[in-house]
Amino acid sequence: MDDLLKKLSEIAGVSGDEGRVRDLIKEEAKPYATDMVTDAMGNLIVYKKGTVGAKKGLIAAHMDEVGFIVKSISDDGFIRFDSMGGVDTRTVLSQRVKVTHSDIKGIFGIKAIHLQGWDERNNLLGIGSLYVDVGAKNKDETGVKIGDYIAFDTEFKDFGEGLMKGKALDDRLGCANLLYLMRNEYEDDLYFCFTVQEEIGTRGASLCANRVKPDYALILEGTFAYDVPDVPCGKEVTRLGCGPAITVADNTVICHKGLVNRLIEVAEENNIPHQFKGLIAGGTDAGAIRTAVGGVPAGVISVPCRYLHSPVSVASWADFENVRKLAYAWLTTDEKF
Amino acid sequence: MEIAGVFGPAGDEGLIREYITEKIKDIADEIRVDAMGNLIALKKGSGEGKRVMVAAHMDSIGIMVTNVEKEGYLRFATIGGVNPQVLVNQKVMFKNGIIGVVTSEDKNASSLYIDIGAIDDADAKNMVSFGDYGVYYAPSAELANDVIASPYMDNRVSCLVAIEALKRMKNVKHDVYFVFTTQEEVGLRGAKAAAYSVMPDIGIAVDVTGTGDNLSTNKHMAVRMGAGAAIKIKDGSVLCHPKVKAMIENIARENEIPYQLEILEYGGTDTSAIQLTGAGIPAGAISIPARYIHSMSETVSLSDVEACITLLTKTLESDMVL
Repeated sequence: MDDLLKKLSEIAGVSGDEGRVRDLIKEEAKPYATDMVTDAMGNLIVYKKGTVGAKKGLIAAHMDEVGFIVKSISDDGFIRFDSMGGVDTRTVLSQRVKVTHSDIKGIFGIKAIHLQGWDERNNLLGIGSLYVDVGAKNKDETGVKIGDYIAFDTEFKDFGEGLMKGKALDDRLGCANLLYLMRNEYEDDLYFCFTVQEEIGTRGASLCANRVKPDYALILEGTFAYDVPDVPCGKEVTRLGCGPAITVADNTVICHKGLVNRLIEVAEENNIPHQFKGLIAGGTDAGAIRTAVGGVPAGVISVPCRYLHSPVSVASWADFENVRKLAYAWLTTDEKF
Repeated sequence: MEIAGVFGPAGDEGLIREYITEKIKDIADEIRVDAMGNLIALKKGSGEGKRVMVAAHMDSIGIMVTNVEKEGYLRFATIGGVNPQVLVNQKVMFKNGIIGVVTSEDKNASSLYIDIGAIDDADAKNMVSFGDYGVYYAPSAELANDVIASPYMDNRVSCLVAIEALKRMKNVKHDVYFVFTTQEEVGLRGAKAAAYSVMPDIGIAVDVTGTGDNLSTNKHMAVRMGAGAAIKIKDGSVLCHPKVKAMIENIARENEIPYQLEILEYGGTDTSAIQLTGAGIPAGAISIPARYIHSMSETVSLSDVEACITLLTKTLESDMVL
């Protein structure tokens, strides 16, 4: 068990409420950082001085996870909310959550099946009809305020053969890998950027790029795997256990071609298994960084995860470690792109 | 509220800019207009304060003529979030005073056009040209309990709040840039440029917000008209800096200004554009609760307007320590 990753996965940090994650990362990064700064958006930028310092590299992972924000509280003590990021509301019914400012536990309430009409059973519930029950009798008893955040409350565990399960693997896997990567020495000056508000529109990352003005950037992410029953070969997007997924393009970015080619070469030279993200979909901080400060050569490598943006995702330990190996091998080559 | 009736759709804010300039030229220390058409008025502080940007967008939603049919009817595009359903059988006015009636080819408002009373296309083209802007033409009305219904409370009521704060504030330490921004309704475009040139230490946007107190949609939104100034936590474009939100909330509490916290699920405000400038700027927003936003009858309570003016004034007079 990787205790650091377990802590990172279990801690609550919905978009806009990344403070706890940031505090944990700061603590872990302290021994290895030359300097650290938290900017006005809440991005944490950890600077590690290089042994040569000829170039500046930006390595990013986002701290935030999808979740909810309290919108109103009814007189009888039920909580209405707005989603933060792309949560599939079908996956949340009856799940455990916590209100993060107070650690109050709750569940997403749903009408018992006995009380549902046929049309209700066959129709999917929209977010407007969902609520969180914290077991309070009335509004005052909830201890919850408008603007409080709600996060999934899921335990991180080993799972099956060489797998892990937990919440927020997108992108605490990336955060953990950044923390491990910064323990090594590099020739270039590196800026390890732990970004905020990625899930609601990659809002934090461009500010990091504006500040750092890097020569190149690498984003470590969690991406969707669809290697599940009834999916034909070739439609899996990525597969668990087949190595880091290299992004050529997604909805927000076309990665720097030369940089993508170097990642593939470096993976092959070092016998690191790798795969391509087989679908142009989703978005990452790479989109914001690629177009910042006049354009930054940027690439993305991801750990494939099943059931992304739900209360529980599944990923492979080997993929997680191989993303780190590939990133390290690439960061220590002379030619980045 | 005279200011709501001044012509100024996104991209054609000249008249409203002149109107506001006239109101503030004797109070502001410096006034300039940038390349985006933003009106930037500086009120200098006593010297040891911060650079603060207050943004209220002065543009409104509207329509733009795209084609003239041979019968003399006008085809048009919408500028900003205009709901076609709302437009049917309503009047629009062009900058030169020409008035037209919007009508629909079918019941679904899927194909709209404007009748300005022209005999044919040549007659129409004498009055209106391709690219001309139009705005809602509807009187404002005073409802009961000091409630006003008018087109373009979004966002002229906020311009009024900013102008009043500029007039009322006293003993301010900070250099305050009152920016009346352009093209907010088409994507916060003016504020982006203005925030870059002002590069403030703190940004505060003033805009309207929706409410959850009518019988139709959004019953779960906590904001009520008449319950005071709304202090924004989030909208569709921004999560306000928690310390800016906390600072404004404290000022409301200390000064016993009625306030409420705002979570708006949709929409965007200049707050976002300011926040995302450079390496990031702490930004928050004060909102005036309004019903029926983007219709001809945007409805606000004067007591909320007064609360917002006081809250903005007191905020600017404070130390503004985050």
